Amino acid sequence: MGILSEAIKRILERPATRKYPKEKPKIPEGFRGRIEWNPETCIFCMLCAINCPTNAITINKEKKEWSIDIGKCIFCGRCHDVCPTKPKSVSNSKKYELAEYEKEKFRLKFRKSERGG
Amino acid sequence: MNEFYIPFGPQHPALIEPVHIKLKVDGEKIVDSELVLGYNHKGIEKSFENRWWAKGMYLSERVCGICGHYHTSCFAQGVENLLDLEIPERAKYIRVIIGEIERIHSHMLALGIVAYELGLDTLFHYIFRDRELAMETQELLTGNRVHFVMNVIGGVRKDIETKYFNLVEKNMERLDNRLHEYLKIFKTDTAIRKRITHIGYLSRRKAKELTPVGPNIRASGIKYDVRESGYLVYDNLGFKAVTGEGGDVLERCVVRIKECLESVRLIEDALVKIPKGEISKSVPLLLKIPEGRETVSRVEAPRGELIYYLKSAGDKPYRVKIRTPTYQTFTIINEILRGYEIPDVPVIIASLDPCLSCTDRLTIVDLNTERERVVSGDDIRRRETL
Repeated sequence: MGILSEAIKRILERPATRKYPKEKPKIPEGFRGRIEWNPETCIFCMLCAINCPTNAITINKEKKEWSIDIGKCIFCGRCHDVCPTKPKSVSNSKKYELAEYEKEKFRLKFRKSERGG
Repeated sequence: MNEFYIPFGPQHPALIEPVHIKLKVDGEKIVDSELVLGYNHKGIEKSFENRWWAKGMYLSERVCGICGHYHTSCFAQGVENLLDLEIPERAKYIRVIIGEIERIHSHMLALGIVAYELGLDTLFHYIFRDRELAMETQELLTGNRVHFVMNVIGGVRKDIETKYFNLVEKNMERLDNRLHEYLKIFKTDTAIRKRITHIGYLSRRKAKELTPVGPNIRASGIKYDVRESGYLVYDNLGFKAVTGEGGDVLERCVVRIKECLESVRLIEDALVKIPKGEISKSVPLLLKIPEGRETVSRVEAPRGELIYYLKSAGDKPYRVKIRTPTYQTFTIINEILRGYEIPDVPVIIASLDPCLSCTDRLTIVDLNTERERVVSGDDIRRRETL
């Protein structure tokens, strides 16, 4: 009887589910999404690359290149925690729709240009 | 001889977890059962040995998707023991709050699965809808639904914000109402009561002999809860362990609901008592612990007592041994299946709340099976790279 009365009570309520692709969820504060790199503050100290638990980050000091493999990244945010610059050069963004058809597209490479940026 | 062996799992429509049980049956009745584990082996214990202590934290969180916070708490507690480090009071409260929310959603998941195995899909959906309250609270406080990386060695990574406390309290109040409703449903609904009372019975004497952990032993009337020892701040919060007398499937569900209610009380209490202050002690990025030092750390995870044994080899662990609650609970599986019928098997196993992704860290070679399948190293490697 318990379930039946509950079912009757809820029959006129709105559905509890969200229509996801049309209706985006609200991203909470502190969400750990895709890692983003800010070339302007980066000092190429290698701390993020050394401390990454899955070795997803690689840095080329001479070419001033910073790259990340999102397929390897576990979004733990350790690179953000260990980054010594202010404001932090490496940080979690709020991007979460990261699926791709090809593996190659997960390897993202960024370069610091002479003018910065 | 009218006895047959019926294989149950690892892929079975009525059981979601990858476990294989060989059931010896006489007609519909189960005479004997044999458990075969190892379908979910990930080699995590070995992987710990070539990671720094701080990187091991992230690995330990991935032992289990549901109780990841408890795994990191246990690992961090062990490393802090090795370092003789006392974490700040506020960090202890935060660990308790996040952990208890995790316990609520884990127990509600178990209840939902029991309802689903009973064929009560409606109840399953209602429970999962209300479980979302706990998930949303986690998301609010930590930023993520799973793997919230709240623990670091020496404290917690992220502070919980006071501006959300009102919302958390409101959510907890709603959860409290809903849980009372479910307690009423499980206790009074005729269909449920007739189906699961006196099924999967474990007597007090047998429970003492076979020692399962968590709600499964407490439902048989034995008060065994690591939180009673008052680790972190449980003694400040006046924690009381929940026990039941029935020892059957229904009693395990009821104990889980009552534990959720106790967790709600603990969270509400902790939000009032939480002190201000720092949230973590600073530790060097590359931790060095004197070689050969060892420790045992234990916490009460949703499924029971979780134990980590750690031995140091300098900057990395020499050995990490994880004793997960489900592994210990599986000792009773023969006892609670014997004498019941085949349709009872899914619901009995679901009532144990097994978590195979935690348990399968060892390889079992079964010599008794007639057919043996050899998987070559190449085969395994190929599967990994796929």
